[in-house]
Amino acid sequence: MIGGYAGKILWVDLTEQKFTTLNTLDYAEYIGGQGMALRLQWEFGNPEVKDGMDPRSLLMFMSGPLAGTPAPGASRGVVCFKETTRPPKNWWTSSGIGGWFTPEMKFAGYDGIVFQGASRKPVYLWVDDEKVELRDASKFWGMGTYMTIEQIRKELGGDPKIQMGVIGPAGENLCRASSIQFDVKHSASQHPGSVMGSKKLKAVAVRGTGGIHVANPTALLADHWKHLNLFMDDAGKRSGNRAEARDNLTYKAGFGCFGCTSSCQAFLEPTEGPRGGSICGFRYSYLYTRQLYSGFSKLEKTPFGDTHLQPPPKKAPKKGIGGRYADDNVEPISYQFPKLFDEYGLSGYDGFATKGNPGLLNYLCYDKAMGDNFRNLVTAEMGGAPGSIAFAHNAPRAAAFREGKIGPLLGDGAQYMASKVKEHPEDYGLTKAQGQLAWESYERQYLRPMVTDHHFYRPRSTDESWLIINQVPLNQMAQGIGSRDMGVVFRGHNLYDDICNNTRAHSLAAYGTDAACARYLDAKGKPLLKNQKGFAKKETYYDFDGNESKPVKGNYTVGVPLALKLHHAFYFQKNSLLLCRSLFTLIAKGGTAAKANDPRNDDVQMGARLYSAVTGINTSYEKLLEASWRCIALERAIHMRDDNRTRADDYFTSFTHDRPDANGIKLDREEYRKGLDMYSELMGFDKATGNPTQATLKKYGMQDVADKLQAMGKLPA
Amino acid sequence: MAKVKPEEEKTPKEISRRQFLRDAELFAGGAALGSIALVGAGAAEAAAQSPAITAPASYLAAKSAVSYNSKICDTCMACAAICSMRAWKGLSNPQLGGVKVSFDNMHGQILDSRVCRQCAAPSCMQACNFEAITIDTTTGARVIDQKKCTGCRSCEKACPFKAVVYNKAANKCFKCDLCAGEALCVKHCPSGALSLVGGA
Repeated sequence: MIGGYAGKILWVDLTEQKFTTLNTLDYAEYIGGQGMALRLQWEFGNPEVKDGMDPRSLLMFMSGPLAGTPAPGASRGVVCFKETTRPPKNWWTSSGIGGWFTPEMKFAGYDGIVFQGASRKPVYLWVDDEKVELRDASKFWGMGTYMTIEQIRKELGGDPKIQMGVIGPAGENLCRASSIQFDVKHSASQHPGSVMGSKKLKAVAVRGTGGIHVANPTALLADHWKHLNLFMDDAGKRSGNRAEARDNLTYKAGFGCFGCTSSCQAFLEPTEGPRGGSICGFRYSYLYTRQLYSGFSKLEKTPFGDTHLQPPPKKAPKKGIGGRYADDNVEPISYQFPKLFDEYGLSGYDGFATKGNPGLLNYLCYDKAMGDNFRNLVTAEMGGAPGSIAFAHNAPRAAAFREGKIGPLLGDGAQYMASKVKEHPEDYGLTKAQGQLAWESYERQYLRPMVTDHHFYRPRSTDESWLIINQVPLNQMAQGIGSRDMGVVFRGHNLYDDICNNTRAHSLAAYGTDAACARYLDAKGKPLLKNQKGFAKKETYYDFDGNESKPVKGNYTVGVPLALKLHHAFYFQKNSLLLCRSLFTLIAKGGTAAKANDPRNDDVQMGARLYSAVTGINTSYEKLLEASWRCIALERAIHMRDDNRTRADDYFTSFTHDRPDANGIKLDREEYRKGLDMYSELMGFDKATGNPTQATLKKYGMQDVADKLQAMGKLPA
Repeated sequence: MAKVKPEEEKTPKEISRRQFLRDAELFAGGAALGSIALVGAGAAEAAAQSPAITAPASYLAAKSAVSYNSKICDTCMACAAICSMRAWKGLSNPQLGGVKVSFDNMHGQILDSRVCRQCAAPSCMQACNFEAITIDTTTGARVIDQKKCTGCRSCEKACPFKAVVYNKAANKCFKCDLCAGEALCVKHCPSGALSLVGGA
């Protein structure tokens, strides 16, 4: 008996209001989650669909084989769908979800739920073990996400065990940058909300009383215990009570994700307003906007000519500075503003500042080059400029209901905002040159190098993209392409760290080489380079046994694509096993800060061990790599079939080639071309198109995919 | 694991009935034992509703019982899933574990928690008509013998703390048996919300 899988995938035809099931094990070679979703999209997806809001598109809620078991940090889920925010090529993509929805779906007996078609009237799906029904959602249409969850729970009997994913007005009104909310702490925020809204699907509610069979409980418990130890201090003390009060908020433990050994988000209880969770970047996003508004922070020029936020003062005055700042404290509103986004079902990442990144809206309003017109327009429509209390109250609603000129810009996300401003600057009181500058700002802030397809969160604004602005060569190195002088670095400390924090400074430890990467590959996970916090100038190198050694330098061109190949594999391992990127990063690099500094705590075999223990299918690090590469080949095949993917889609934004960084280094186009050639060769892709060849597809057991592509005339020669 | 049945010459039902007639001294279940500090929501209410029974002298006291502290619980449910996995041959189902925690993730509230207190005079044991509940001589835990359990659910109904679970598919009941002394839920709790305290 194979453990882990619930055994069925529920197929919901919203147009015909019919249900069928698929056998999960027919797709087990794709592991689960995004991998399985890729195969489903290949088999059932309509190639003519170019936008997720096309009613013919598929929307999938998928789990992994470890969900619902005590495997630590492995009960996440993923929503897979066709993008809506990135024309002309909206890729087949995914958005991760935490919380309890995914395990509950499995306890109900389903490894995934796939929606096809669109309902004529608002409905929600109710899955109560074997009982599945589509129920009228007319009375919930127009409600905020929190109220919807509570009201549907009430309608279904009030059981708090019922978990659900819902959309708010933003998704209903087809705002492209809308999310699916799962509770007050968890959402799928990479823009699947409008896909759900276009299907008139208000919510998916699940409750299950079944269980998940674990093939080898002893082995699973051994790993659970091992990982738990990584988070204890030397005296064996556990996380314990972390409740505390600061910034006018009470932070308390709990309500993280199922099976998590280190809940990453505190549950916040403000003195007033909605309670819930909030990840750190988002929690403080409006803080930076507030500081710009009040004059605390300024947009400054980087050595590249970009703007970025001046680091906020360590201890910002609470009141009375600059007049406009005096009406309340910064922190509660910076927390409540993103909570409003949650309630309207908007993805709050788009357009707003996080850490050093000003975000596009702030750039448009506060960069000197933009003048005052755009800010004045925002102020007129929202009752205040970004950073004001009035803006915080009015902007989410305007975005969700697409009010005025600014509302749709906010609701459709950064790329639409940038393209509208660029194409019709006069509508917003801007000159053509200003529109162009805004687009360039968007590119720098949001567009990460695309050599890995859509593997990076985009166009969400996070601190990683700030690194693109400021540390272009380093960032490119992290993804496998670097200049000769700067060297690599695939990773500083361990493989998971790279997948999860691939562009963060601390994972870019030192100069790496082809030899380094090759040896890393041969060593199967044993660290060569010690993790460096920040941009340390002095690198420490380690040999396979964790002892310090002399640096190895050489030609980057072999090692970097190797690193990229591994990087891709780990990305898919994470998204198919559905591992938590935060927890697994901590686990894989050795747990708490003190323990993480010991490379011998690294554990790259962990994913394979957990999979083996839960399913009973013996696997290894190497076999999971193969499975991941199969997924990558299939993903490119889908992009080839549906969107005519070519090598031109493996590009860096032009400024990375054209503008030197602070050290005078820029990415040479010829070097980059060579790197792509090598990457294609390593992956078994055609160099001319960057797409998998017939031999590669056959190697991974996808002859049917090759045959189909050949019949369509799309298979590389 | 050596196990003894209490007062082997008697049926559990008779013991229970006779004890009620014989013992005038009443105490409210585990609450009177003092050493079991169940902090979770609902515990006090359950204790107040506990039937007044007395432990026969021959009952072996439990060396320890699991205590739950809702204030530091992360609600990861690993305890329940692990317990279930051990109890039901690898089936991970938090609803079938000996530790039960229900919560409202919309309001950040733990609504209820149920952990066996290894009562001095266990109602479950006395309610069982099939001598399926015995006392582990090593730990003192009150243990349901799955081979003897008929799934009649008498123990489940009798437990004032609702700490007995019923597995419909297996048609068996289960309660905390302290994992033969290892108490996996306590060992694997990331936050330290579960601990072992002195038993009855």
